[in-house]
Amino acid sequence: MKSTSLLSGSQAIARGAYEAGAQHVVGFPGAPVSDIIAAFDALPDTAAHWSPNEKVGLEVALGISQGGARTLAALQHIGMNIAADPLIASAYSGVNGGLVIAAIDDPGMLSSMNEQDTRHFARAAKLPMLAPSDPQETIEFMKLGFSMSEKYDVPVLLRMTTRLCNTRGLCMTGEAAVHAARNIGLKSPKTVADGLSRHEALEKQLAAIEVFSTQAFEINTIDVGSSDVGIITSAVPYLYAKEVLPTASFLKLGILHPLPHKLISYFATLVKRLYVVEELDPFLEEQIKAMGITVIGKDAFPRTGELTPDIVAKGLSTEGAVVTSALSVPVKLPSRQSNLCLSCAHRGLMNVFQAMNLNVVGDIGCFNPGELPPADPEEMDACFCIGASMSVAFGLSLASDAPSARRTVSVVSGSTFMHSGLPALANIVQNSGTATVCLLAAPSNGDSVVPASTVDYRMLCEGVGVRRIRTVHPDDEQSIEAALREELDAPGVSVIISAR
Amino acid sequence: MNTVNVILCGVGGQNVLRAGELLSRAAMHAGYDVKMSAPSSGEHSGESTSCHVRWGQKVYSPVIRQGEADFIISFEQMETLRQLPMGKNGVAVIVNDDVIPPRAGRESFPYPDNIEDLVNAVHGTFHLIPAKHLSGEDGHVALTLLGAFAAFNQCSQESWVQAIREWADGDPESSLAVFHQGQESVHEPLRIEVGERFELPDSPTPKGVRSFDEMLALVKTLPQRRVAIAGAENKAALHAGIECVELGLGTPVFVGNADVIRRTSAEQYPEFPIGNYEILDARDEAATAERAVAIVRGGDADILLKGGVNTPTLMRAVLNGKTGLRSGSLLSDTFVFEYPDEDGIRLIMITDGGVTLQPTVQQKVEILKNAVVVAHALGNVMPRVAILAASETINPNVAATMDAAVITKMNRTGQIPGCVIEGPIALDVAVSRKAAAIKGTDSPVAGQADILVAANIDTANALAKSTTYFAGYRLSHVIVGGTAPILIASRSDTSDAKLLSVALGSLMAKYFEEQRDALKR
Repeated sequence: MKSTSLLSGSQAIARGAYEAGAQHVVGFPGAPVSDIIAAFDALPDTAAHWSPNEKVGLEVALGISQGGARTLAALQHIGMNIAADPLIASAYSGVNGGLVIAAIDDPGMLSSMNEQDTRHFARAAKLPMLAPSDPQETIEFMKLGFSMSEKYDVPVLLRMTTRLCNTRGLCMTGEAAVHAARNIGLKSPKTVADGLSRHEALEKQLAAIEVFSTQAFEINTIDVGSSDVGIITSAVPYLYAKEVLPTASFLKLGILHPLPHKLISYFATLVKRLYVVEELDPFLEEQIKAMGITVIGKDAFPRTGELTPDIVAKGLSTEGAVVTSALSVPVKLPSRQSNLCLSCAHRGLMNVFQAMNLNVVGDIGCFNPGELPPADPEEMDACFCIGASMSVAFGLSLASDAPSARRTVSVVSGSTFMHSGLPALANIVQNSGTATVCLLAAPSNGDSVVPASTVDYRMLCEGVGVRRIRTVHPDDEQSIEAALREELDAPGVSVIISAR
Repeated sequence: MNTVNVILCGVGGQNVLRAGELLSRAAMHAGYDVKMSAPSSGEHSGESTSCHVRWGQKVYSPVIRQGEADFIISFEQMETLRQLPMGKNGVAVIVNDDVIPPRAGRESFPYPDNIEDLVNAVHGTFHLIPAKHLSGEDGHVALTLLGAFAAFNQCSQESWVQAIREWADGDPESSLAVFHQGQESVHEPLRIEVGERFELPDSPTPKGVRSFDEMLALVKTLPQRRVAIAGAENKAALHAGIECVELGLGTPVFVGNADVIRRTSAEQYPEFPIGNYEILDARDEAATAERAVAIVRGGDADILLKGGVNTPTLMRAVLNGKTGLRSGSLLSDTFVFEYPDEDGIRLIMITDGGVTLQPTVQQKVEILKNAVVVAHALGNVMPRVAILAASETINPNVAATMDAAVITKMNRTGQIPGCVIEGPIALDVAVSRKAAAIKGTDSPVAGQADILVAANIDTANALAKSTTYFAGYRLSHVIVGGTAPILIASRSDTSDAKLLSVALGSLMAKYFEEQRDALKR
């Protein structure tokens, strides 16, 4: 039974995987991955496998695939970096049950701190990449992804953005396909010669996918319009361009890698002037220019930030797109920024950091608002990437023995400690370094679904050789301050576990 | 554009996004295409929060353009102003009377006290709703505000009720009651027109006229159309006009040298009462063409029929941007022949064998649409269109096959409505069900094509003439894409072909008239 429903892009990823017969999803919590996993988990006969980090998660997914079942892996763009090793290995090993990896970029930094363009991963890992433009297409492309994965024996990347994950649209939903269980097909290159031949095989598969892509008019669609202006685009920017210049001819690429070169050449013959409308890097533009085709791309559209219909209209204004203007509202408004949750267990700690005027090296998590005003001096001084609070603080101590360097504390939550913090801690002990670490073991968002919730942190720290470990109550600011004063002066590595 | 644009805004924790979902559901149940977008999937405590909801016949962008929001529904007074620049001049603003002071930050601008004035300054309407008071202790403010919005009559009451029933966590009846409170709080509802809703074509689809005899019989029952004959001085042109009268196909208006027309008529057809018919005098070929075109353009004739004037002269008059018959579309020739199908006689069209030499894909779309108009005029509301190639395989090196695939896809996505298109497809598969079955082609067009679109003029022209000369089938043809049917008979056309073309033109004139009337309504 087909029916119409209103789904977000995140829900559509889950729905598409479900309708393709996938019964497993892996991922590490965070927006919008948590939405995808929760939506998948809510469907019948499905299992969500939260992982402590994306590398572990993708490896689990690879195992599920080789075991013969279809599986979805959902990763944020930064998660793709963590999972890059198994990602590239998986291209060589191939799949058994279909494996689709939803990779979610974040133009505009709506839910992260960088704007890397994950489309480059498709070329680096030599994996096919699909890019839907709305929730309905997300369902269709997810199903296509699973069949391509099995047909061409490679994992398939489905490139999403935060915007699309958080866009709701009408979707035709259907029943779940039954994916017949396959026998275990454990395979990977075992020797260099194996690896070389797998690489050759992979290149052949990519060539075959390109042939498919050139004729896949349902996926790479052409809207014939004006013979003056043609626009090559994909995903959400297609919707913006279609909105602001509906009379143009469009080539909307649903398959971003490998590119259908002959289709692009054909489209180029239909129009006098060609534009490439894409978010972030000139990924399509550079490849199309390399084909000897003249296009206007980043000269007309920005390389940074999220595109909007207004920005696209401005870039196409010489072709007749109307640039609308905002109403003038002559008033300055106070801003509203996010707070720590009222019930946040870590408020006491943040207050003490502020009172003691410490250098605080943070980690990634929902306690990041500790960095924001009105805290002045800021409660947190730096935050790099997940798991980096201890390793960066260790580096600081190596570079300088100034008294201020001694007033440095690392803050890490249970989930990021389990993600990649533990090796950093072990590394300081191993190198006889000095560090003061505050481990926020009271649950923060996401902790409940990863191993962080069941870990005995004291034993874990002891196990890697930390000798000075103490536990404080997060609300007891006096004890926290006393503990910090003592441990900052103590030699070696100290861990202060804040737990209820 | 007939899309409705609504921005909902407030402070994280006020359930702004949940409200956006309820609104989207109401629009969905009202039968519209909907998109809703927010920067995040949840609300961050204390942060400014907003989402965009858009609905209409077809919505592309999930994001509203600046200066284009029709409505702003604000859950907190000051947040209205943060979104106000996105509004259009005259934006309708529905505001909860809540005030949430922001946490003190680095910038310490005061909380504004002139919100209504600023809305009025952009000619907006300001509706302050005491939502908390109206919704009661446990009610959702969202329901009251959307109730107030619903008073603007955007979606039907039934669609709201259905949406609220799906959306409400606990007791839908109490949710509905809160919603009605909101509806009643706005006293002056305002209406904004929205585009048509999606409607699927009725099925089964009538196939319309299936033979030329049926066509002639039908035309004889209809009001007589006026046929402007450009260059009626010669015997053949006069004869065509006389036959129109005798067969009841139309009323001729003879254009040309009036003296010569009268003389020829008297000499060749002494029985014919030429005096009963209008003769428009023109001194030379160019003037004849212009005069004939002018009366069609002015509505004094419905069909333009080439008589003795030569084709280039007539086409110059037709194509004149100011005084001609251009409608903005490409002109193309649609050739119709009668084919004894496996299931009996039916009409098949071939295009374009007469106008564009080597059409681009854009031109093919127009040529195809012109032929679809002919099919519709013949009563076939959902013609099957085959875009011909040598086989069904898409070959990136053969542009005709790529064009065919692109046009087929456009049809599937609703961009070329009113027909079913398949291509690339070979002639045998297009017209023979037996061939389609043998080749295993699964398509609604296979074996049943009503319209054959050829890759270029040579193919279309040769294919059309082969039906006449090798198979001896009857034919008619018409040039479509202008504001009226244009009949340019070939000198070698039989008189049967000329009369069938007049009959076809007459059906098309009727169709154009119906289309114009529908637009007026």
